[in-house]
Amino acid sequence: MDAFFASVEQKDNSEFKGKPLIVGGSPQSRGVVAACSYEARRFGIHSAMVCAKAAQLCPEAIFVRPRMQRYKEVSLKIMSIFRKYTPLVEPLSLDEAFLDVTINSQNNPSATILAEKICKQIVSELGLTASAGVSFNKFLAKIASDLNKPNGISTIPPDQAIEFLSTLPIGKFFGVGKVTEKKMKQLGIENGLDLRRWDEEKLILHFGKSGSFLFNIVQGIDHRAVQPHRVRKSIGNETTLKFDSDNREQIETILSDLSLQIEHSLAKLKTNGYTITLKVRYSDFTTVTRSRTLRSPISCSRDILFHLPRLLNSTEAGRRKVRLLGISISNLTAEKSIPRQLQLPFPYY
Amino acid sequence: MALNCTISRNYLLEALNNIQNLTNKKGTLAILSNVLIESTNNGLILTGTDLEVGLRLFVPAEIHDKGSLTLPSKKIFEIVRESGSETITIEETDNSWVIIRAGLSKYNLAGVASDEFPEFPEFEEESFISFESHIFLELIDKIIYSIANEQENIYSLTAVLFEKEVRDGTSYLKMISSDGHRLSIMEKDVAANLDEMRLNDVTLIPKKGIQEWKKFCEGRDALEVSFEEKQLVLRDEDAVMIIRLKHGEFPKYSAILEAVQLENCLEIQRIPFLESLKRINLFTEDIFHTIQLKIENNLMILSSQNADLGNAKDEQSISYSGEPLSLGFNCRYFIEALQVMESETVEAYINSNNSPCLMKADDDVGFISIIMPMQL
Repeated sequence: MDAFFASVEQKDNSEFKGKPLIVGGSPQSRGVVAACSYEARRFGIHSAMVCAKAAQLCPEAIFVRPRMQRYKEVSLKIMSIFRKYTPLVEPLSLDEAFLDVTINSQNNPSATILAEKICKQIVSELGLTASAGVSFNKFLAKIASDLNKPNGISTIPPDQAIEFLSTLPIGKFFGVGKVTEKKMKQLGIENGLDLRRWDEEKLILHFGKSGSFLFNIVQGIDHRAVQPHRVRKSIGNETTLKFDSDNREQIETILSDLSLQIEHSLAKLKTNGYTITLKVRYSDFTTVTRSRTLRSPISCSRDILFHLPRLLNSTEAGRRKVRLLGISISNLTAEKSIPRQLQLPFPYY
Repeated sequence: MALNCTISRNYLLEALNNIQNLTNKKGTLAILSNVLIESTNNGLILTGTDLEVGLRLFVPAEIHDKGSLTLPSKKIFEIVRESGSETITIEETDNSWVIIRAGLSKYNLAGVASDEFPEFPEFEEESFISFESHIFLELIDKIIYSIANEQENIYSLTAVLFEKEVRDGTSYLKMISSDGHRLSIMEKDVAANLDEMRLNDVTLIPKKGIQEWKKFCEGRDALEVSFEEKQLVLRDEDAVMIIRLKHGEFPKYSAILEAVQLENCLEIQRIPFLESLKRINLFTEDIFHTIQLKIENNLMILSSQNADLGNAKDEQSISYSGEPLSLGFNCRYFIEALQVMESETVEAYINSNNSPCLMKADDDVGFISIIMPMQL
């Protein structure tokens, strides 16, 4: 979906139409832009930008708080449109999904025509525009979907894949984030063509497991199937502090709140997990994570608070100013699969 | 000077036996697996340490020539243990080699020079207070099983919290241990004046120190105790033990005590309950020893199941008139607490399946055991 949250807001409130709209924190705040309309993007605003900066770039921008519940509603409608074409729908987020249309309800052999049909149906039923990427594997389809935004479709057919990947900047490859990108560039890998010159062993040597994945995708090979029942891998929550803080007590209070929210999510999803991860982003945006895998699963805030202090002590939180705090539980297991020893309710904070 | 002495086999055996736990630790400095032997005018001083606990013992001996050296603790212990002789002679030759004679047996054993052995910590001579050993034996026995084995969070639960308190003119010593799932508290009234006992804000004695303290008490009727900032010193006329204190924090256990509501009480016969738990434990799974307790009008139904074996069920008559309860527990936690108790009848306060369960009994004065349930 194009500028999903912002588009939903513009659709629901006619006064926002055609105007720079920002969904996220308030304009003076240190919260970030969750989504912005294309009108706002013209001012150089993009998602994840600090709101105060966005307000500076575009003083007339309208700021609204996200309404996640509403976006979820719309998302369900979008997903149900997808499912009319194929049962093989793998949602990536509220507004994005992989569809395997090899076999489809229309018996149409052209994925590009199907993509057009789906986009049209979304416009006519929901009044929102979507972009689509069509190709023969997940990686290329995802890349293609970004090529012709907004309201556009692009297709990468098999015979053009290698050529397309050759010129693709290395940062656009799946799994190549900022850090890997930098490392790649240090090794002289700027684009797909450079990457293809490397053999698999060397890539593994430099990039570990993902080396092998990169070796394959740069040759257009990605065998990952579309998984309609993708299971959740982690449950977490994070929050940006109102002000950067090195006040340990305040940090602990925030973590304590987060752990309660996670307890709620764990209970709702009837799950618990063996691994707890603490994420700390310092005021200079450097981010560290600390995690610990336990013998018995974590299912409530008391468990989280039992293990958090040690994780927190291994960060510089309290000595260095912190901007964002997050906790996540992964290595999930179904609730009640094994009996769980409860912790004594010692006061941890 | 080269050491040359003759010692009673039994005295030496007993002393070496007491030192084995400190010198047989794997992965430490090589010299720490040796025992330091030093002569005095009328005997030997044997020293063993793992740097956490140090023990120094006097053994009467006939000294022919004064000297000091270190010998492999385990080997000299084995030599003495296997010997049938009444006396043992140790004679240093050169380069810390010794000839050991025991009856008709003769051993050449390689030792290490004593200057490589770590210094025995110094301690202040004042501020020792005398106690009867049984006081500490009672304290330690009641809490030793619930010390945590590994540090899992910020609290130093691998150590025992030691406290003193004066209440209504009576002095008490207290030990508290917890592994995060259960908490044991034992207090004992003492006649001694505790004013001179200098404890830190949080005095923590590591598990190893507690184990050695217990052994120290087992061989004696009385001992002297002194707390310094970083160490605990135990002694009598023939022995000194120094236990390094642990630095850290212990949870505010009083918060838990206050949180337990002493309302919903069940009374149960200790020995039959203990026996029943042992039977039910035959069918629990290995790590958590989960059992289910169903409690209703004057009846407790215990059950357990094991995926490979099957299941077990047992019944106990109790005195209970509250709401029916169904909850899970680690069976071993109950067994270990009930085993150290002495009363005929035990009171258990259970409020819900996710709040702490508290056990105490009239004849186990000063003892409280708190156990968290398991979620089934």
